[in-house]
Amino acid sequence: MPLYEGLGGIGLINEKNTTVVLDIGSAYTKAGFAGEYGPRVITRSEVKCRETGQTVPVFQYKDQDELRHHLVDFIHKLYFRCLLVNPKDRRVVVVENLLCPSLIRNVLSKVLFRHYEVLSVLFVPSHLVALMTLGISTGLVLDLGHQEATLMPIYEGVVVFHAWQALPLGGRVIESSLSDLLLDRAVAVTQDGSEHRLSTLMKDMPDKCLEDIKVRTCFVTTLERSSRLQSNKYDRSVEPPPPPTSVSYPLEGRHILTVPGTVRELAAESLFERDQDGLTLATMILDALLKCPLDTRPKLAENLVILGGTASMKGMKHRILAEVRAAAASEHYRHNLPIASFKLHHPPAKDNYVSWLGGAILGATEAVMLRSLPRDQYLVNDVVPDWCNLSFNTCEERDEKCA
Amino acid sequence: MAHLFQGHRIRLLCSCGLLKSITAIYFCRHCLKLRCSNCVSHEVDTLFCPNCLENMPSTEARLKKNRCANCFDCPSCGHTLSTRATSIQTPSPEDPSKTVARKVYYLACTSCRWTTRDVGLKDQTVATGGWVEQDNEHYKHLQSLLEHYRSVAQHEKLEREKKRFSHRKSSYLSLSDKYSLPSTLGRKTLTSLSPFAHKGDVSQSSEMTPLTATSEVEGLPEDIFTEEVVLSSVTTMEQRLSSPEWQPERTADLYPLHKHILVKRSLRCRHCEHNLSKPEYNPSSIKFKIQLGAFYHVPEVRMVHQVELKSGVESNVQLSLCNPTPHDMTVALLPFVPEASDITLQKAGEDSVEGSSLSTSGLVRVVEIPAEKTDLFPTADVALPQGQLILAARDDTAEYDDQESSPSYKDDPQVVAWRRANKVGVDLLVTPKPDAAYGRVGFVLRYDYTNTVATASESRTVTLNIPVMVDVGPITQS
Repeated sequence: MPLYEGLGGIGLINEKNTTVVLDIGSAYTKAGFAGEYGPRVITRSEVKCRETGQTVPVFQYKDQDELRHHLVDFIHKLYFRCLLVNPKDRRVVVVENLLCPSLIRNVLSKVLFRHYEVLSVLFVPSHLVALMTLGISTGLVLDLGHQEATLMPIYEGVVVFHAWQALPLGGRVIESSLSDLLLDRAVAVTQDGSEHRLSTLMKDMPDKCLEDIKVRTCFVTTLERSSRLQSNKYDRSVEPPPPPTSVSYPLEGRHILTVPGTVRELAAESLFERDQDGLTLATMILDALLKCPLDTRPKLAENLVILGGTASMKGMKHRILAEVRAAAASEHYRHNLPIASFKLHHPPAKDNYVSWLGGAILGATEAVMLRSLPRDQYLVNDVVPDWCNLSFNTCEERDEKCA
Repeated sequence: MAHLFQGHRIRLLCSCGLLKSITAIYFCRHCLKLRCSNCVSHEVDTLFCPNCLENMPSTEARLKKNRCANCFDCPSCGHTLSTRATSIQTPSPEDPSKTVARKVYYLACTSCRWTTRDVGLKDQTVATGGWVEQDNEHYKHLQSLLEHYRSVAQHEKLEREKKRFSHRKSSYLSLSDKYSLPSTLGRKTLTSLSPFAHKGDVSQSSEMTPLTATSEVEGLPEDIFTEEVVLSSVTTMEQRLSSPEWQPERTADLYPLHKHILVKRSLRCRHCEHNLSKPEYNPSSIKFKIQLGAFYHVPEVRMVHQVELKSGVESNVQLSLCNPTPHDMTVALLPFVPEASDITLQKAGEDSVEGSSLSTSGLVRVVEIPAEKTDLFPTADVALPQGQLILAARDDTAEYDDQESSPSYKDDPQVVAWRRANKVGVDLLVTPKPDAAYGRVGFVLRYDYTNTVATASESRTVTLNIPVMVDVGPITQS
């Protein structure tokens, strides 16, 4: 065994070329360095379009080339505005959702390897590394993002992949339901002091505004109040709970919008309404448990982890836990899934960068050197190993790895 | 007049396949090719604080997380905070019964009027620095995690080494290894499935206590249904994310932010690794040590007049060509060739210089970026002037010279419309194609470039071809 290896390894970790950790989300991107306890920057995943000059989301694209241009410009911004290091000959850890489209993954690696000539890229599954921040190896990880909610059970460090769940429930759904509610119910005072319905003043609300109202005024109400509100909807004789206070919100510097208390409370309800298949966040967790092997279920249920930007909404985790318990007691699950207790973890980070932090911890170890895809190897055949690609994921290869 | 300076109307085809105006293009003197920001490699050159214009070495910047030690930004609006001095009465150290005036300092924003006093931060006795840094509350836990996983990874690496070593030794027995369950594999699957968990010996693991889950989570605050929301006391998303590790939710928790530093970039050609642009080290200087902009090396093409184009009608478009180099230049306009043949044309001109670019770069292997696809389809036919013309060298004194000093060129009046110092006007006859809305013509600018990188082995002048696209203007249907 070479004796110098250890020294070299330590040298590479502490070397000035620290590994860069990227977590590119559909709304916000987290970027920083491995071994640090928080990202250097959390910035909107937006980029100036090369053709129109307008600011557009990175992942809004017509074809592969446009996505590539977006990513080139966006990563340029990250490196030269935020991280201030040379991308060349530096390792990168990309925290990615396992359900991320292959196209995005391939284009991202093309950009990193070809445009920025990074030394190596390591794609790590976001749900798995999130557990590393807790120091545990078993957990049911629910990622509430902007676009969708994705769930992966992880048992002893292995993703139980066939039990994955995903629903298009996330920050965007809250925003669109907030927009509908406001256009339906809210009134605004215009500059001349007269009151108008919001729907007469504007057809749709700007996204930034909706996000701001959501973040600053909205909350996720309790299960008890929610069910009272629901029953009031169908049966007017049931007294609804007294609504929270309304908020005056300055809109675009011209109008004063009154955000009714009911809207503040109801905006996030869209996450908990069952869709046409009867699915919601609570059933996602329970269905995933049902798909997991019998013996793993109690342990998974006692190790729930909820992360993602939307999870940091006031009352969100409390509500999800209450919903899960209520659904588990329901007729459908009581017999199939007799689970006594559900417990929730509290990651040592803000909800929106838990996965990033996991990536940063992993990135600071020597695993980066052992597991990542080096540039030379990528340049030979221009492909990244992927779990969904059979040429990388056959039994033969797995066996070789094990042996 | 404005159209004279509309640089974006005339675009050159960069070697990577993008059309860019001459101001956005570089010319690599060593490869003799056009390069643009898309196809050069960017590098961080110097780091500096944009407020105090102080240089910061990269090691220091890494320690300070790319933030200036002395300058602060307002956490509320992002404007630079300024230090305010005020005096307070404090008991004198000698005689507690008397009071003396002492100077104290606090930070205030001149834009939104936020001050450090607003959030209850104590005034400082020194003008700069002294502000206590915030700490990450989970520091201890995260540090132990980091150590733990490092030792796990180290362990894994050692094990892998061991395996590779033993594997080589036991090649005789590889058959039995293949068809029976190898002892190592058996142990692995039995102990733990986790790739990050310890395998076998646990003595190596460091102190790490995993966090535990709780059955209860913090619910909504009691008063949320009755409390009035004061919007100005709740932070916006921008305010929260400007300090990612803390993300304060109330404005009362805001903390002054150290100013983020900026970089000066230098650009390097990917193929020969020569600098195309390198700024001066001093942050307050806006000059460059090296600046190989195309406008110093490539004849500049401009439109002289705005022309009304009519569908199907031939009209005269006058272009001016300007020689920025101190050498005479022979120029010809050739018909525009689609991409493929255009590359071969360029190759033909460059074969002679291939040797020099290789000799400078040695063994460097170039990572090619994907070729860009650009719409290069002209929407008008163009009749180009036939024959060559000579562009006089740039002479900085010519502007002050009243006399016409360049009568020596024997110009073909068919080609040259006018001539002034290092500029020449040429006429193109543009016929828009039917049902095109916007007139766009292309041609290849062929010119003799005088190589300024002296190498003995080759001739000093090289013929280069640069495809040019001209957006002539909107076409009116007749």
